[in-house]
Amino acid sequence: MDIRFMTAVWIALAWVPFPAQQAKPVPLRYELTAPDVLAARVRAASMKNADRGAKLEDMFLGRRMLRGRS
Amino acid sequence: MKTCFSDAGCSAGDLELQPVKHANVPNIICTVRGATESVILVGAHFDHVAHGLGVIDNWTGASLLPSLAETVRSLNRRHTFVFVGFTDEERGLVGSYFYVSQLDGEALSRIVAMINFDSVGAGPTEVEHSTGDANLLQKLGNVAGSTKLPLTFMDADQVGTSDFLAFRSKGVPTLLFHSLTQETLKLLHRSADNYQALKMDDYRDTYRLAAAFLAYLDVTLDVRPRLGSDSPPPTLKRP
Repeated sequence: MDIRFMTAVWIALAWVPFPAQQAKPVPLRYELTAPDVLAARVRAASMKNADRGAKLEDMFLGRRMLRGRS
Repeated sequence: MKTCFSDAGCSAGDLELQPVKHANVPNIICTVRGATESVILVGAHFDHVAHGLGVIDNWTGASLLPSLAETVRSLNRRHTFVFVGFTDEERGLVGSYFYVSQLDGEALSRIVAMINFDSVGAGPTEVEHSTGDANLLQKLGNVAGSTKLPLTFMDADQVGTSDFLAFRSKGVPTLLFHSLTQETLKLLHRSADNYQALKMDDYRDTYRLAAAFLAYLDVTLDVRPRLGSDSPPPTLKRP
C-alpha cells in the first residue's frame, strides 16, 4: 500500500448491503492450492524479499540524499 | 516470485520479466492463456519499505498470485489471465504505471477487469468500495454469499492507494482486495509488519474467495473482443 497520509489516519467505513436480487446459479469447477503450499509460499517469499526490499529502499534513500547534495 | 510462478506451472514461454524504467527490479508477468484475447489482469506489488518485513504489505498479496494462477489453470478458460507482480509500488506505483504505459490502445481495451491484492492477510477479507467497479463489486458479493466466505467493504482510499489506480485512470474496471481496518492499518510501513501479523486462516479465506471470484468472472464477464485462438496473445509495446 502506497501510504500518503500516515499521520492523518482515517478510514471511511462503508457497509454496503449486497444486492437483494440473487444471481443466476453458475456452475464453477476449479482447483485450490493446498493450504500447506499456500503457507509455504507466503513465508518463503517474504523471507527472500526482506533483504532485497531493504536494500532497494536504502538505495532509493541514497539517491535522494545524493540529489540533495547536488 | 519468479520461482513461485515457475513452481505454479507458469512455463518459461509464459513468464516474462519486464524491465521498468527507473526501477532496479522488473515487473514479473505470468500469462495463462484462454480461448480469447480478452484479459483479466490480477496484480500485486512485491516490493516493500525498509521498516518491517513487508509480510502484510505486500508479500501476502504477491505470493497469492502463483496460487491463483494454479486455480485459473484448472479452468476451461474463456479469458486470458495475466498475473503481474509489480515492482516499486511503494515509490509511487512505478511498476504499474510503467506497465500501463507500455500497453497500446487495443491491448488496454482488451482488459475487462484488473483485480489488485494489497495488504491482505492481516484480518478478514476487505474490499474497497469507493474505488471499486460496481459490476465487479456486485459479482464479488454474489460469490461471497454463495461460498459463505467473509467479506466486508472498507474504504482506505483516504490513506493510501495501490497499483489498481494506474489501470483505473485508463478506464479499466478495477477492484482492490485488502484487509485494512483502523487496527491493521497500524501495521503498515512499521516493524510490526512481520509474520506475527499474518492471520493464516483469514489469508486462506481470502485466497478461497479470490479463487472462486476469478472463476466466476471468467464465466460471467463478456469477452472483449471475441477473437480466434490463432490471434496473438496480449502484447506489450516493444522498444
